[in-house]
Amino acid sequence: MKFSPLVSELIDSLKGLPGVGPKSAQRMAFQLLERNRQKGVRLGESLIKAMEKVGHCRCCRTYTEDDLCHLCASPKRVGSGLLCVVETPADVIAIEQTGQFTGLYFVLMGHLSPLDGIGPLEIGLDVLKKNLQDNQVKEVILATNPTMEGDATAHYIAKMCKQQDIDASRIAHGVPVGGELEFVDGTTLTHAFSGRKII
Amino acid sequence: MTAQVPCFILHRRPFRETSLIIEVVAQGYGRLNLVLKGAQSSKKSTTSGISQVFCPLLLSFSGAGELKTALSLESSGPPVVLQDKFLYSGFYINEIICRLWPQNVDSDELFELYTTLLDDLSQTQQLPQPNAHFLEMLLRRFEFNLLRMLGFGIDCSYTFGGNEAIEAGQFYRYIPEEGFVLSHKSYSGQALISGEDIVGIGQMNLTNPKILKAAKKLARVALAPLLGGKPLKSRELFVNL
Repeated sequence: MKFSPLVSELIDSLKGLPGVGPKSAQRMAFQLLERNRQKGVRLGESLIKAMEKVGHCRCCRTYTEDDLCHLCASPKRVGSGLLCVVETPADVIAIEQTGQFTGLYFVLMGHLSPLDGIGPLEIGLDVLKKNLQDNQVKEVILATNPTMEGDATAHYIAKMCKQQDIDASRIAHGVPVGGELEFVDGTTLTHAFSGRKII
Repeated sequence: MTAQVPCFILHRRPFRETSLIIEVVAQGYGRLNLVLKGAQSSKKSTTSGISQVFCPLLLSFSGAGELKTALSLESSGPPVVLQDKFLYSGFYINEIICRLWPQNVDSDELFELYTTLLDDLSQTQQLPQPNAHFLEMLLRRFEFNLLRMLGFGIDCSYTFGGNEAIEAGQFYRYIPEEGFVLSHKSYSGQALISGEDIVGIGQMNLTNPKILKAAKKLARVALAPLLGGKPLKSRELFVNL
């Protein structure tokens, strides 16, 4: 059986979302059509609005509909002289929730991964270089993921900072709080030992 | 299901919610593509910690198609720690193997070549600066060996067709997938190499900076048609912004 053209189109579009297969797409479409027309209309409207208006912040490259995101626009944050480099906007939220960091961010939107065709320019390191020159950054905190690619990205940026005489630091990695040493893999434990702190 | 095979991950990319697709170079199996289920879920954090590039691993897998399923993955030693240029070189090697080596073509030699190169890289980076010359030597050796294993080995003793021996004092042009052709010195092509250098490359006499430079030129020309129109992205890492 075939659905009418508009219904099939809706199902097809929903399939484009991550983790949504044909069955789930069908279920979502029917749910919206049958029970939740109003929510469906709202979803459609906000989708169109977001797709048309949201771009990248001029300074930190995170998603925003303004020229500058609210974090980059804050004079207090600019004055702190700290810049934290992260891979995704989700990382910014995670760090913001800790309330520990009061500086600026720079979102790479990925990491260096030559095999995926991602080099220094694709993750906006030219923008970052300009930021470092223009803003009065005293320290760059490299909070890329602790994967080999994340490390490579961190090293690349650290070298860029060194050329401009800016301190670069890497976040610590080790045993998670509440975890048990027995279940931590060897590589993580090695990092935890080499990065130990005197108390 | 297979017994545990030593392997290294060349590339990983996320797949579905918590899985990974990994490309590995495995002893006796060459290059394989595998799904590693649940590697990114928080419950199985032991595999997410070790499923990194440059970590020696033991893998068992099943499946007959192009994409196989990893059944278990265990670490078999400390990861090879590479830094700076040596780390970028590691990515460069991984990219070359992924791009050039056909999938599921058995080869003991490939794994051997890869592991020795990683060992050499990590030892060479301990050497006092400047160690860039040694790094280049390792990369060139790897490139020429890989070309040979792929069936595109370069004959450094005779010209194309095997008629004439390469002579010092003459200049030659390398035509990919064919061989050296005698050329006039005024020929302005990029791939012009002197006879002495070619003989030096044939003897792998790469300690000489001039021969090493010629070897780089030759490797680039020889690799270009195999890579197609898409240049190697990892070369960009060596260039500072």
